[in-house]
Amino acid sequence: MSATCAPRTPPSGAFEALDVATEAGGGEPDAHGDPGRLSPDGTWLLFTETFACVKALGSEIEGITWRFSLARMVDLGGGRVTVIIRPCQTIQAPLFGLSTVTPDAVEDGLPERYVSAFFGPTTAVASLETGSTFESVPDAELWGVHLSDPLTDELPGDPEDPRVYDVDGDGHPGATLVVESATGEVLCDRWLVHRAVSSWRGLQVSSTRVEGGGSYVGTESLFHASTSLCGSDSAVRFVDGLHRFVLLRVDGLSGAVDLDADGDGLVDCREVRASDPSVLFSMREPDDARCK
Amino acid sequence: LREVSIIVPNPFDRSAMRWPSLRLQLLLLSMVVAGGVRAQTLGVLGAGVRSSALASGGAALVDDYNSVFLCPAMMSFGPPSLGFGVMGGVNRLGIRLSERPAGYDRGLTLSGDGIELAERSSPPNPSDLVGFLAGGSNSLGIDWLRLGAIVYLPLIDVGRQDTYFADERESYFTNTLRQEIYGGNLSASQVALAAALRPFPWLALGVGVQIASRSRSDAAVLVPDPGDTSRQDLNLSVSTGAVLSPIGSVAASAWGGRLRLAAVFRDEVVLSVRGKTQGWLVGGDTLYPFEQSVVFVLGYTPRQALVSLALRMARFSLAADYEWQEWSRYRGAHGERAGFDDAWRASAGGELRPLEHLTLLAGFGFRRSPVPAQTGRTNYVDDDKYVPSLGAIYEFRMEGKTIEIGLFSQLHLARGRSVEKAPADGASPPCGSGVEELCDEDPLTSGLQTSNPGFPGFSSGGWVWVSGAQVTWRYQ
Repeated sequence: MSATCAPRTPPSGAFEALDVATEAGGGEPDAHGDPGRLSPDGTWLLFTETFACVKALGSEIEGITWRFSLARMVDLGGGRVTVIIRPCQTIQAPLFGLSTVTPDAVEDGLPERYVSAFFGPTTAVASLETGSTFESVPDAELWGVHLSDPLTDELPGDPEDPRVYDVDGDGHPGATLVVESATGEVLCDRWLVHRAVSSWRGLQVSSTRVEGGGSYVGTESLFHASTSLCGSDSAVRFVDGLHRFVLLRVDGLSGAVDLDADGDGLVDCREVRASDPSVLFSMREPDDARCK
Repeated sequence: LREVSIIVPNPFDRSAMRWPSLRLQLLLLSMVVAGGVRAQTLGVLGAGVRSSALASGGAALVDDYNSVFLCPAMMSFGPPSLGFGVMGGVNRLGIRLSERPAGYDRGLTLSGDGIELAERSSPPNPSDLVGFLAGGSNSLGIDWLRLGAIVYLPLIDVGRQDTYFADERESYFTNTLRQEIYGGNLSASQVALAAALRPFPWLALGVGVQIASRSRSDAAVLVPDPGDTSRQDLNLSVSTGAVLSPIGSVAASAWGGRLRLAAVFRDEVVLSVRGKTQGWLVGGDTLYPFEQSVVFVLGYTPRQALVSLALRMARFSLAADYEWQEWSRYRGAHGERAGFDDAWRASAGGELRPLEHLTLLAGFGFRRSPVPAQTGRTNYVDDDKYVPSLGAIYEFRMEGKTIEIGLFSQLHLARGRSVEKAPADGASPPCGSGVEELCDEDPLTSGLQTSNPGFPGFSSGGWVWVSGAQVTWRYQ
């Protein structure tokens, strides 16, 4: 090259344009080079971020719950899928410096849930965006209780109720959750049954990612608290419009991330927890202003 | 004024997530450091009119106080001297970034009002330079001994100390590239001291030191309430010390003083800042210790070995210089391996004395850049340089002493360079310590995701023009 009085026109580079990506799994071309095509069969990770305003000590603060569940999707044809959900991990943002921890034993004791969902342009949000839409039917997740109608039956208030069972095998009815201080000190525990009803609507943004929002309502029936701190009953208001979900393919197909660390062909909750799934998603910080 | 920019790479690290704002503030404290000197200016532009007019060469020809930097031994071949000068220049080296194809930018969502990431753009030209050069040498009445000192003080960006990341991390800050060697380092002060002796009429030995600073800044912090990280009680310990970088030289004279040979060794000069923050979080009855360390390299001149040959005749002189520079030891601003190659520069020039009191000078040099093609992760920018130069010295006698008034002009013309980042052979490796290839900042997404400001390429080129004037009193 010869001397120049100014930099030359820079080279165009050796990289072709890609589709714009956002979070993990966003926008990458699939194995067929067509980001619009999706083969739902396989293992996905369902990430949900739900918001609630908790009233205590005269003010409302925002509580966020992040859940990570394995979602095995079965294509039934015609855009219909069955999503088999296996809960793996729950993280709750601290409230007043106190964190409610859901032990792995609770997650491992929960049954799989079969949820119907639909892909295609026939859903209610079809006109909002181009691309395939996704919609799941209302789904009730129950902790430590069997109900005839999971969506509408009242939660039992008596731990001796025959519908209540020991989900984590610790000898106490229902699920046992632990409350810790900001420094990690265990302060008390709570025995309860819990129900979360959710439904999700979103868009397929790539062959490995579906995302959107939905509705979420959680209720619980507390049987026992080891201290008065854990027994306090705070008013909880779930905030529609903020809840969101992401379905991220995690079985390595279509260029997706592969969480099958042990190479046995299956992704299980142990592998999900070991991978620190929080790094796969953007997670919002609590903002009490949203509760005002 | 200290300005600091910080990345917290993994906010979802539970141990880091709890007190991110605290850690940022602690790192801010650790950056309170004293200013120092950097050593680059005289090596690039030359020391004094004669050297600058010979394309930064002439180490075996110059024998006044400028030899303190060029070749200390040569001082003892010349008379004691005293002088000062000014130099100024325009830096028009530029960088142009290639347009980035769609789909590679890592999709990050900004959380918080009033916070924006800098848009990726080509950088402005580096700062122009104006500086003041002064020095002197003295024999203490001993014919075979010389002691000397030389100081270069910039008048623009005095004490400025910038660091930046030469890879994708800079996208969070300036989001552009910089000239690595011909940037801020040309606005750096420089100090050298030397002594020379001549054991034989034909042989001279010289030793000297370049002086740089090394700063240390430690902070001790107490956070009494983990729930309120805005309150912090602290102590600060700052110290700045000098680092001496040796210069060794030997010079020989033959053929009645008409032929001179000089050899010089200059050790590397590193201006660094180190610091540690140690503190306690008080959480109820429990104390939680924490600790952070920082290392910055704010200026660097490589180890150099120089040989210079000069022929001094009645009406003209000729000089040739070759300098080897051990840039392979260079570690970037954050102490990370930069991957530079060793480099060299060479120059040749001559003096012509058409009139009794007038000397005309001209030279030409070439400087090989130590920076290899930046096809991978890093974006160090530098070009080979052609260095033509001109000068004139008028001398006259006053009260038995010789006074020289000199002018020079020097051009550093970049040999333009275009850089294209190389696609990985297979999947791009995740960004991490020790990774030298263009790396993927979001390996969980299929396809390369990078915000590296040098991606997918860039071009560099331009010029630096420097001129100066100097008055020298040769008083023996």
